[in-house]
Amino acid sequence: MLRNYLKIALRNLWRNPLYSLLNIGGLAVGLAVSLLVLLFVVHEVTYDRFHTHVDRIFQVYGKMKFGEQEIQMAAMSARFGPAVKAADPDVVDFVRIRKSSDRVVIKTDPEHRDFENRFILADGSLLKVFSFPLLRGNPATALSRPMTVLLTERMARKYFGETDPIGRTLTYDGKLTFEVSGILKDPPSNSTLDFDFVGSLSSHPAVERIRNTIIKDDQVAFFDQSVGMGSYETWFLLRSPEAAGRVARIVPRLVKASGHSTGETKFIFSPLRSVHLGTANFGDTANLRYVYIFLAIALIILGLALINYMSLTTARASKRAKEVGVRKAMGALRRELAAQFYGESFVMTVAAFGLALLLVQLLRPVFFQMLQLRIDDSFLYGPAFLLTILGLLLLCVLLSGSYPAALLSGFRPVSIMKGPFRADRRSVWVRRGFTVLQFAVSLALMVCSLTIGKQLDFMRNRHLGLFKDRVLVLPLDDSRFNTAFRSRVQAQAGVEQVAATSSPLYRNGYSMFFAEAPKTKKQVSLYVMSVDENFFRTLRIPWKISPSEPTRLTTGNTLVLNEVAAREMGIAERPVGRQLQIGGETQEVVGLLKNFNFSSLHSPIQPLAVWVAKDTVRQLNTLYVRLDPKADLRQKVAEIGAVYRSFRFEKPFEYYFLDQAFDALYKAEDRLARMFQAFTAFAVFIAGLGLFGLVTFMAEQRTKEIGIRKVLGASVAGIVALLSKDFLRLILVSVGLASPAAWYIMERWLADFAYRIEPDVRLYVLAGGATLLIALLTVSVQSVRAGLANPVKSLRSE
Amino acid sequence: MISLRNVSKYYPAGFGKIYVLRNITLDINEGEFISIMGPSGSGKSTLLHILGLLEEPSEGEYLFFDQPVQKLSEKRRTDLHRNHIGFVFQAYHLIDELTVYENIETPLLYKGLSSSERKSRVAELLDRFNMVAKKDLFPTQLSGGQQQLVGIARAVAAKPKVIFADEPTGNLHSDQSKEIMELFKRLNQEDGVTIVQVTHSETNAEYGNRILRLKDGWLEPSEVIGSQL
Repeated sequence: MLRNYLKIALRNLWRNPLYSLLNIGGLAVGLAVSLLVLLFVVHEVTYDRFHTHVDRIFQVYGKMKFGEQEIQMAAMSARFGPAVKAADPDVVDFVRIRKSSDRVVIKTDPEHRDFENRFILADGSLLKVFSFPLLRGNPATALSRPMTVLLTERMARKYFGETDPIGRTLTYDGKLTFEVSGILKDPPSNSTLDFDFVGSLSSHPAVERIRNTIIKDDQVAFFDQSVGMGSYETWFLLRSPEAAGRVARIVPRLVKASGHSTGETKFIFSPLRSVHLGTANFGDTANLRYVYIFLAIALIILGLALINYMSLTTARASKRAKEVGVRKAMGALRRELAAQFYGESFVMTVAAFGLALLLVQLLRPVFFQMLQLRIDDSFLYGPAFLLTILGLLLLCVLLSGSYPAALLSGFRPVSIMKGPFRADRRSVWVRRGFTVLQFAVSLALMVCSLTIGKQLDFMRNRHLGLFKDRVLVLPLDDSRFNTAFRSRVQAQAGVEQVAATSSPLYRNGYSMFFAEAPKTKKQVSLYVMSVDENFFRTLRIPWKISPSEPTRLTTGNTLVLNEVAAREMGIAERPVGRQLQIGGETQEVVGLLKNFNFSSLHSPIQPLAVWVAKDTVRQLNTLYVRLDPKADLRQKVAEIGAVYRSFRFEKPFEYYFLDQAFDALYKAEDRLARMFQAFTAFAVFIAGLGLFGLVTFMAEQRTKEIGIRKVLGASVAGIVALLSKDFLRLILVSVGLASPAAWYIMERWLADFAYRIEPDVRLYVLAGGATLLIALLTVSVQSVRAGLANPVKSLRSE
Repeated sequence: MISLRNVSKYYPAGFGKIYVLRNITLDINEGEFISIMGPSGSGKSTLLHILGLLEEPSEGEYLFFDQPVQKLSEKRRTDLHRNHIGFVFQAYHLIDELTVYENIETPLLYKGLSSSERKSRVAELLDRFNMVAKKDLFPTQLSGGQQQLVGIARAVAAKPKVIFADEPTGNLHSDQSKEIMELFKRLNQEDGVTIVQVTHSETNAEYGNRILRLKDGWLEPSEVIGSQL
């Protein structure tokens, strides 16, 4: 029996190649896309699960209040871990990790020199608490001595090639030497802790001293004897997950005993399992939200593909009706017929699945690149994703077979003996529903795509209050050559202006200080940066109130504010001449800058305080070079690079353009936009397929009617109009359904932006028009054919 | 074997109902060859469908081997279709995706015969109907007469007690018709299969031994062929 079903299924498959191609192809593409998205989702939700003790590992956070703001910090003092372990037997072990905020230059020899930003320092217990396998070296002693380092496999290959790195050395920022004591397996891509180098934590004093040469011993974080906030991410391995609450409660006592006041600070033990998705953290649930968005998209796409499959399958119902009738008259049970149609769906689905897996392999690099994802190959073949694939296959087989099996097996045999098959009205409504749904989704996606694109454009082209075109930014070392290098650059032909600041714009963020508002005594948070006198001219930032005596700018006890800062401090009336308490010093406001956007347009302009320093000050280690509009940018960069190299800086030459950095702030939105474009294209394709199926079905249903109309004198155009009218109505219903949904979703998305576009009716009209056009083209293919058919043929088949 | 008592069939239409069959009382014995005749719309096909358990009567009682069939479950009815009833259709209704061999085999699959039993039964039928050479062809590759031969082979494959044929030669020209009717006659006489056919043709009706005439849903007194002549 099974063989008989399979045979029919396969014969049906190759007897209708176009139909099979549309059907399997559509399903395969849908499956491939949802598999890719699911790959991302599963990767996210399995974060850190590879650690043997995942349920018992906790990270400690301190939450404290700063005026109005609550700030969360993960860095604890050096004594924090040991003190908690000594105080509670439920604490099995602790790991302190120092992450460097800066990139470091790693060098083994002149040919092997590069920036690295994943150099961490950690206790040796890292290897015990977490499950990062050590491939070479002794786990018990690997990180016990100062100035030893573990490399990941990829770094061992990068810096030492095929030679054995154990016992060899590498230099850190040209000043320190680490000895390689072991090789770690590369951390998996779904690991919160990510690193390429793990230095021993006892190396930290040496690392601190190269940043700050005059630091005293009692200021070195590693020797800090207090228990409280500090410099080290601290993780605990507990005896059981339940112990976390109790351990957290003993912390305030330990802090007090070490002579600190805990004040407003609360200590929270957050389970490793939830660190990545931020379910336990306050605020940061961005990852979780992405997982939800993606999961929804995967399900929608899968749903569209399955609906399309069912729609196309049942579109051929009239062809199968005869078979069903005959089989029933011969004594087939409905159950058996349902099994047969299920079998056919199974064959189709498995074929589509095979094709989808191929597509996944093919599209994976593009997809990952589009979303800037890094997912290990080993994850793709790991049990978690394989289970997902199997589950999906099962789900697809179950769903794809369900409607066709139920519908087709329900035909009554007597109907085939009473003239040609006529579908009942219910199934016509079901497929109309399918079509409306498919087009509604396509349309909503189209509107979302257009809106996201428009918002991106809007942000990129908005006037920011500063000049960002043709500005080359050079992050430098704070080294003694800065001033000399700067004057050499200034002297280059084609360089208009050169300025310097303490922190690069639109890159990492800025330092924050608290200042007391003169009248309300409220603490106001201010972003601060140091700039040289040339900064305002180079970036053309206009003054609201320019300093009356420009020489006073650089005296060291003055600052300038932006308008927002003046307003927040309550001194907008007469800001100039005010004395402010900031960073423990009294400073006088000598000027007011017009507002300009110094960070992304997600947030409104924040209060900003700017210190102006002489351009010889070393801390101004980011150079802004405004180039002549007539200059060839690439050539200028090359020339400046050559000057840079002639100075023999420790850091390799590096630059970016200010406008590019600004654009890069919207990477997430850009990613979303591209993703939506891809999904839109897919949804439209699927909807088109579905509609094609529906038209085929309808035309078949109405063969006789069309024949009669033609005999009575209907024109081809008349027939096309007759068949198309119905569908246009459906599309209009889709528009009606999709527009409010899309409007609502985009309203919520846009709410995240301080600077945003308003909903534009034209986008909806555009999307609706495009959808209608696509639908018309799809419908016309079939309806023209039906219109052109010779009526004699269709009437004779009676 | 078959007996109808006061069977009527009607469809609702507007406020009233349209009768297709009125008050039919009828007995068919095993081994009979019956032809149902009557003008278009007289209810021939409906009567055949009711007899074949494809439609249910609106009123009256239907006994199949002394068993009232109105109240049978789908399962029991299917069982009758598998083991006791065969159908032959005017438009042959072969399954286009299956070969001649497979078409004949299908009822045996539903009957649950083993593979070897099926093989020998299909081989026997192919041989008897002279279709051995055509067993691997698909229906569309056959002429109408040949397709109907396959249809009949399929109908008798499961060794039914009765075959219901709805204008079995309606789409065939006279030579082919004759061949098919001869075949029915042989099946009736040699194998003892009861045959009920609907036909328009007096010639074809003559092959049977009793003619039922329907007019406007009423059954006229039956005439027995041979005894009258």
